[in-house]
Amino acid sequence: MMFEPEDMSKISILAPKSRARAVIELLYSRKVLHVETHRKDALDIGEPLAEAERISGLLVRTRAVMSYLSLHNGFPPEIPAELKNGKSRLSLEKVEHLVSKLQGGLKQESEKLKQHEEEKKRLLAQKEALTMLSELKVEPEVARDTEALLAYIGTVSKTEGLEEELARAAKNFEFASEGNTIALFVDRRNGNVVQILNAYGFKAAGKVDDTSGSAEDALKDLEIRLGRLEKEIMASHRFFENTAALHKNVLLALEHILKTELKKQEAPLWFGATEQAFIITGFLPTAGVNEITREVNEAADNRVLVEQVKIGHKDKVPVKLRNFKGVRPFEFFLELYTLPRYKEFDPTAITFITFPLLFGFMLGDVGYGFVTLLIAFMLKRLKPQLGRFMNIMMFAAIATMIFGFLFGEVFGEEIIHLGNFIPVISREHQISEFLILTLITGIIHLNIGLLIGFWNVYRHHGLSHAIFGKASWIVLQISVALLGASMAGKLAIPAAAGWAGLLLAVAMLVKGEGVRGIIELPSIFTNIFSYSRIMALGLASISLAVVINEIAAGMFHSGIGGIIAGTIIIFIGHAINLALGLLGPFLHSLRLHYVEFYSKFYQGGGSPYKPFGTE
Amino acid sequence: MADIGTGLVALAAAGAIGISAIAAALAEKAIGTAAVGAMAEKEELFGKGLILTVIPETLVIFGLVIAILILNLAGA
Repeated sequence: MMFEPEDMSKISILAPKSRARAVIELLYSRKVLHVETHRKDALDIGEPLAEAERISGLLVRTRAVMSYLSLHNGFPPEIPAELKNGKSRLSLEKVEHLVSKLQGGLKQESEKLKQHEEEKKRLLAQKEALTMLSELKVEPEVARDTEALLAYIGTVSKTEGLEEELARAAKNFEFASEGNTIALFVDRRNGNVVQILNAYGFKAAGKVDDTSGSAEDALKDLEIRLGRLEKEIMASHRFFENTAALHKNVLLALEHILKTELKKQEAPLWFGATEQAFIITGFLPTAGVNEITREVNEAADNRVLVEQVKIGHKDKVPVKLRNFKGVRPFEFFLELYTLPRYKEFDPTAITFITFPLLFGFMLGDVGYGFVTLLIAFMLKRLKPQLGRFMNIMMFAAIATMIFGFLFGEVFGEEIIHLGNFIPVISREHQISEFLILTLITGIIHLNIGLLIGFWNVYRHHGLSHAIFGKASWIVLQISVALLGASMAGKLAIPAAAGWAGLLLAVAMLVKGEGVRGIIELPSIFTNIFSYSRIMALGLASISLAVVINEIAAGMFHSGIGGIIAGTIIIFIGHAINLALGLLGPFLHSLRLHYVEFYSKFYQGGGSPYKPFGTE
Repeated sequence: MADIGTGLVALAAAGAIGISAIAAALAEKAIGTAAVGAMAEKEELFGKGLILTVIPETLVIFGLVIAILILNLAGA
């Protein structure tokens, strides 16, 4: 059955702890068993394998080295030859040696670099201060902090009134200023000058305590020291670059290997354990049970017991969707929303048909469909990771072109009249007919949903639940239709028949869904009217296209400038309209599925199948 | 020049779409804020957030349908 997730089986693997490594290794490489986390009961939770702690330590240190070198992960997991022990195993001793060596050297170098950079910052500040002093014609030697004096050198936002205010606060001070640059030497016992300076927006330059000679000499000396520091800093950066270039591949591979190795080492945390043995329970597709049983037996020298366990009601069976290859891109929609539960109907195959149909119905334009097809095709080539999404867009684009032919539209113009081929309906001119057509689409779509729901409920809860819960909605629709037709005088049956049907439907609903059924009574009709968005979005899109075309057409009659401007308007206008036309129909087609269609049968809430060994 | 009646029909249509658009915007504002908040906590909620955000769009679409019907039926 392709309308249901893959059949799953639950197995348990019981083996002595001495075989843990071999079993984990096998399961990791096969990537089929979805391991169920063991909860502590009579059995303890397993303990990591012996080397887990060492490996996790190494992983942390490897990452530390990588961060010194600004390397990021993502490299094929090839064990570097120099770290191998014998043929295939990673030698932890060699890894430890390499990582220690690198980490030691890098740590030293990075501390050196940090010191040098701090020194550089200090010298630059000092340079600023010296430049100011030379401007103010103050000798650096008198501008030092002493036991009795404090020196303030820097800039303020304004100098007017500063000296007067200082004179009020301090007895002994020297003040010099040039523009907004100031130097102030004040007796240490005058505490509150800092507040005054702050009020004037004082920004301090560096200290000049360790300089000698005149400001000019000190500046020259400073330049030499800065140059030397700069060289040291460059050398440090080069050291990091060289180390990174030399060890990049090894480190990236190492990080990946250690990460996977750690996962294997820590796997027993998911297992149940006794003193001597461990037990793994998990799910896998039924088709693979025999093979994995044989392989586990081989790997553990037959000292293992693999058993099928009955799946209980409380088991959360992981869900692996199963669809034909062409349909599979549409599984994206379920992953985006919620996966079906195990044994629940999988609507992917139906969505594969209905999603492009609704999308095409809304956009419906040969030109837009063709451009979308081209864009999706090119994006798929350029960005393979978008492949699934672009496949969906390509199906949608083809449906758009088909509907475009039915509406006779190319870029908003109704120009397709091939011989006897008359467009089935004109969206621009037969608005009322088009509205009715969209509502009929809604009725069909929703009732397909209800029928699926009927089948779903019938299989899991029996016929009476299905009739009261799902068929009641169909009875409700029919009776309202009868009532409407007889009241409008279009059908020669008494209105009472409609009323009777309505009563029956309500009674069935109350039986099937309780009081909630009555509250939700109108929902089926709002759901149907919701499909009128097909007409609304289509009409909005076509109106914009017509406006663009008309503006441009008007321009084409006014000389060469008009032709150029008109062409630009056509291109930009249709590009914007297409962008809107893709976003709107995509979201609304999706919404019609999620909110209107799926709500008739879909429960969801399944947990994804994540076999041990995959990311 | 169009008569007053035509003008009133046009105003009615404008009201139908305009007011429902404001209503949809108000509703989407609240839902969008909450959805972004939820997504910050749990990124897998993108799909559900997106769907919840477009749910009130029904309001403005009904508004548009009514506006079109007014123009078509009353305007004719």
